[in-house]
Amino acid sequence: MKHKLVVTLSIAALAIGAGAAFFQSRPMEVAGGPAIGRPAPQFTATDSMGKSHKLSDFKGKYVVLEWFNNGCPFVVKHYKPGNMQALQKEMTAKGVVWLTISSSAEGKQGYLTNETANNLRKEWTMNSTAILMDSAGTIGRMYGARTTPHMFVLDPNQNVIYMGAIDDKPSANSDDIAGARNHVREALREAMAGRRVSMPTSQPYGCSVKY
Amino acid sequence: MSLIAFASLVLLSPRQPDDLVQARLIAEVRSVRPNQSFDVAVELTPKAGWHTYWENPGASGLPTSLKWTLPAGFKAGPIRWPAPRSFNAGGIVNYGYEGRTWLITRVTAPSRLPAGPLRLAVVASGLACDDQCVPFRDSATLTLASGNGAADPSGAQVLAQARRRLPAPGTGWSGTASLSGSTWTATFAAPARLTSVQGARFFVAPGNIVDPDVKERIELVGGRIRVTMTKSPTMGARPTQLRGVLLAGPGRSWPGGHGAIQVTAAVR
Repeated sequence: MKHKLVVTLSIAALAIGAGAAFFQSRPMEVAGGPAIGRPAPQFTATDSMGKSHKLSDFKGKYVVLEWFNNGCPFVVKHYKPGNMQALQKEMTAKGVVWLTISSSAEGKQGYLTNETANNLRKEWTMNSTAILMDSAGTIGRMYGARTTPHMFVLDPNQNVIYMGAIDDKPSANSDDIAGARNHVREALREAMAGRRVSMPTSQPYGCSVKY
Repeated sequence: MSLIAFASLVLLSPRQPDDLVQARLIAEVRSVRPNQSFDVAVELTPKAGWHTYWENPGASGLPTSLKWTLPAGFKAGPIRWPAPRSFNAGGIVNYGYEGRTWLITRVTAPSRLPAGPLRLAVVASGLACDDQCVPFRDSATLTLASGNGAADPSGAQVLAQARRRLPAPGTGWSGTASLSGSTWTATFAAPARLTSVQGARFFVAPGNIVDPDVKERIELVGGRIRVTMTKSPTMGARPTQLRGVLLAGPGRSWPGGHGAIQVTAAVR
């Protein structure tokens, strides 16, 4: 709790230092982390190609945040049979911005350098928009990301419309993907059809994020 | 995906070492008579430094599951989980067991026993973690005879030891809980006067109700235990009760001498 508070304050301080009016006017949103129907916490991050992204750059588009660790068996469960890549392809083809985020600290499982991240993108045929490098864990802590995978979906106004697990079969076994309800796909389909997201939260499952 | 891509994925996949978690099946009886109910324990021995998970694994992880193959007509009950401890990895909190643990299950025999030896088989699967996590799966079998239901002295000894790790039934305890905003408050009354809750913990057994990453606050208020917790950020519908385990502080015990008690608080 103490740790969370320190991180929260330092993020708020950074944001204020950078002159982000969002945090200055709504400090409680930062302290509370993401919540359904509320504005998504804003961040700036650098991707594995060295390109800087501001979350607010993607206003007007749906955004998916996917916490990632290539050494985690739950992540491998969804990548080995191509399940995650297929969903990335399906959704980015519909204009969704898909940000894969690596929050593993240096020396921990899943820590990525730009080079290893870019090799992995190729070898795993990942179709996400970018891999964001977050080895300091700043974005991870801001969102309360606890597992890999841990998924968030933002609507074009950058309100959070889904947070939780990738699907409803908490296991590390790829055989369980068939027949599972993919909460991210369903949330995006419902929202794009102008419907309310019927299951806006679920308990994320997976390995702990290696902060 | 190309074959090359698959190959690199396979290389990157953690593989289960043979000794990651070893399962052994132990019964308190040597022979079984018709309609008899008896306890069996699945003993899980993870590699040193690795842990397995409680029914609520906490913020990540997976509960261990057991799949039984029993003689015709035999039935296995649910897992009776030992009292867990918490693990904190970089602020992410899990509930589980470090080192050897026993998952007790009650087995009930039918009125007519099948002919021949009675073979019980179980597959234990789940997740073991140290700094990293690897799925495990191990099987164990045990053969019992049809007979008079006589105890197996060494098995009974293991079961007695395993039962001491179960939270005691909260006989005489009562509790209520309420949710206000994102704060859960539960109040428990013990069957005898409490003088201290120093070092006590409360873990809610179903997942996704309480945020495991925010440590609960436990106080003694008017002789009752008050637990203040943070709602899970992904909680769905409000539950009708909070079922969980109250752990006494290190070296302490609750009235009756138990280190852990099963309690339930009705949600108001």
